Amino acid sequence: MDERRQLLNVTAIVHSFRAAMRDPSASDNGERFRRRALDLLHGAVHEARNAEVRTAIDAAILEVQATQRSSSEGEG
Amino acid sequence: MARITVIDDDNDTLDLFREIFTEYGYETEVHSGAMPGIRHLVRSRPDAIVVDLQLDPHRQELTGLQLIHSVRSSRVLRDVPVIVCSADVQLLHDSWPELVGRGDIHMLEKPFDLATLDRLLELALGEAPPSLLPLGTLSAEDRAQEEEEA
Repeated sequence: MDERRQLLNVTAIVHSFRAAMRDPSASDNGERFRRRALDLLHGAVHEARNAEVRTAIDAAILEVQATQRSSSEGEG
Repeated sequence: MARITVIDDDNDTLDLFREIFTEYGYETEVHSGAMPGIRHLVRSRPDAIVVDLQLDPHRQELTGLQLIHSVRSSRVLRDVPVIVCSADVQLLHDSWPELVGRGDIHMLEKPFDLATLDRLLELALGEAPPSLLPLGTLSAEDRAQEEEEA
């Protein structure tokens, strides 16, 4: 997969994850959305050879993980 | 060039699909309202339709399911492939028995990656999406514009 497609792939995963988290079912399915997004992002890491792509993936993983922390804090 | 229409009440999702499909070289129309979307569909008869299953019932005249029923009952649209997307996998699966008998319909669960979307596009359009240009490569259109400016 070339770099341009890899970056578009990260965009697709992150934006569709954000959309999922805005969904009314996110209160019940948030953890499922996070797991799925992280699985897809970890899959993308294996194909990433370019620093720009790796940085984009790292930022995306942090964003997804941050939603987990913020919802845990909300529960606490 | 394939023509795709996307109907979703989430503007960020519309932007995402527009970005992806434009990169693929598809002619893309996006609509945040079900009724304007339907009117456009009848006029343009796209090669594929992407519909959010959960159009907000408080903001929309039709739910995603009702929209698909309308598409399938239309003489001009009944054979157009539909990709139904939702984050709520339970709702997708619950709706599936009602959808599956209604022609060329595919499920897209959010979040998704390009490989998943590509497989559905290939099923819907009968051909895989085109490869993207490598980073830093100019498209033929950009190259022509650069030459014109030079």
